[in-house]
Amino acid sequence: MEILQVIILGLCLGFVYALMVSGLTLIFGVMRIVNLAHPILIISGAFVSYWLFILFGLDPILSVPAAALTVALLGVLLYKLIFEKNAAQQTYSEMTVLLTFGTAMVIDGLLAFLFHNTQRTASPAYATDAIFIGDIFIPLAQLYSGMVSLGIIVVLALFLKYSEFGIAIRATSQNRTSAELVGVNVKFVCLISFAIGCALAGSAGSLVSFVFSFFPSRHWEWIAILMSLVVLGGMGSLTGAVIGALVLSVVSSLVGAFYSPAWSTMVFFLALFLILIIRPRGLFGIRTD
Amino acid sequence: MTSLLSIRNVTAGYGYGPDIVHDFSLSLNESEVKCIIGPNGAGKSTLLKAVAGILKPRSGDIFFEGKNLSGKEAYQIMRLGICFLPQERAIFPNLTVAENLRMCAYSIKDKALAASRIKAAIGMFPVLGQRLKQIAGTMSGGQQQQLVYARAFTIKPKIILIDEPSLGLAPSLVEQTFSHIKQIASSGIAVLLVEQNAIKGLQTSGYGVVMDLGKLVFEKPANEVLQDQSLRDLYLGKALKK
Ligand SMILES: Nc1ncnc2c1ncn2[C@@H]1O[C@H](COP(=O)(O)OP(=O)(O)O)[C@@H](O)[C@H]1O
Ligand SMILES: [Mg+2]
Repeated sequence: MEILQVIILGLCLGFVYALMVSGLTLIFGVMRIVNLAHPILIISGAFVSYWLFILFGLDPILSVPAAALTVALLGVLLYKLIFEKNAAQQTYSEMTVLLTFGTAMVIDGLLAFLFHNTQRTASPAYATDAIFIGDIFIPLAQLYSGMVSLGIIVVLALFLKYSEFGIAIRATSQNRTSAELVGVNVKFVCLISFAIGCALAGSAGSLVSFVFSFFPSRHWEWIAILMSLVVLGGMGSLTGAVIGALVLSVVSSLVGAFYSPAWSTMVFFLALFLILIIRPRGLFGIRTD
Repeated sequence: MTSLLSIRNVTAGYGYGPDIVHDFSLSLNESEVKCIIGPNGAGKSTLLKAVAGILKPRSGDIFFEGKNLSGKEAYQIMRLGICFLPQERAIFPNLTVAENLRMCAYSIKDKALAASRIKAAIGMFPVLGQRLKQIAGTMSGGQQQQLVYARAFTIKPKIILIDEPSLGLAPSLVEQTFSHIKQIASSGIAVLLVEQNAIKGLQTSGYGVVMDLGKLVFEKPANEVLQDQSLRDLYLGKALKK
């Protein structure tokens, strides 16, 4: 039974990772922006929920919309300030790596200045509770954050699959010029996609705030983990990133439980190396441009 | 009377490169069909890109229904009524046929109208209706051509710009494609066509426009170009030998 328990916990965390990576994948798919600032935006969202909890006792799950909105607005500001002007440059995609790296350092520094690099966790009442199904034991914090993440991913997938704007987002990520030629305002689609990607980061932050302990500099570790998920899934493929997140999270939990917790994070980096050597386009990397 | 489309002294090029299109002027009236022919690299595609707004002209103006298009984004020009089918396949290969059709109708604000236009287009191309859930890029070449031309009947533009419609197509598909173009023209949409297969292109058009080295060489009624032996030797030589 122990193995089933580890797999279920791995899946719960996997959905949280999937939500963390979904915005990054969306932004890369549509705009070719490698957003290294994504994890620090997640941490910004975590701080929003953390402070709403500490100051007003608001449950972090209920503050998901507030964190999403705050980080989306921050994202729009960043987009207007640093991306929009440079979008026409030939080396745009490479440039975004440096631009977002710098942005990540600035936000990291600001957050550390304001709140210090001390470990924090929001601790709603259920954070220390668990349910038992037979002899399987599931902490409520993991279960709730995993299920809410899954819910948000499903809503995102339905939006991209069926809404007209969602189809326009996918059309733009396939070919900007073709999208423009059917009357899509590509610049607007990019702005909104960036805002949605940041809103996803913010909501992931809320859900992380009571599962992981976080501090501003923790985003460096997450950059590497999220990059491994993006590469495993196939750059820009949302389905791929979600499946990658679930698989790696479960494997990492299994390694942590049955071998050594010290090795569980290594799983992500090993997977990244292996994928780049064996199948560089990732699991679902089918791009035609 | 002002013409529907009026290209006036347009010069265009890419990045910091040389001028590709030089001081080019051409006009197109309502329901008119003109075919631009000329050797490879003459700047034909570049001219169409400038009209569609994908490439900003370096100088000169393009007027559509009396409005100057300079400074307008490609999507705005499209919404005014100029539809451009570029040389590369003008569909979204990773989207389904149904999603492609929805994208064709994207610019139509009235969604009930959009739905009825899509329905009508499916009526004209029943194959598309049978394959709505299929990923467009996995359809046969002929079926993909139908999807490309379904766009014209979905959005009913005032002008359609078509770049090399027969390039790389099997002979039977060339016939099919030109019948789609004739159908578009007979529905009253003005067509500006660029075509390597000069004979086919001219047979479909009212006027032939010869372009070389980015400049307009001459413009004549298409049947005169087709009948004049010296012009045939000069500009249609290759096409005739086939
Ligand atoms: N995207 C581009 N960037 C730079 N130069 C280009 C580009 N596209 C075409 N050219 C150049 O412009 C010239 C004319 O090309 P084009 O307009 O495609 O000619 P045509 O369609 O008549 O064959 C060619 O010399 C080509 O190298
Ligand atoms: Mg060409």
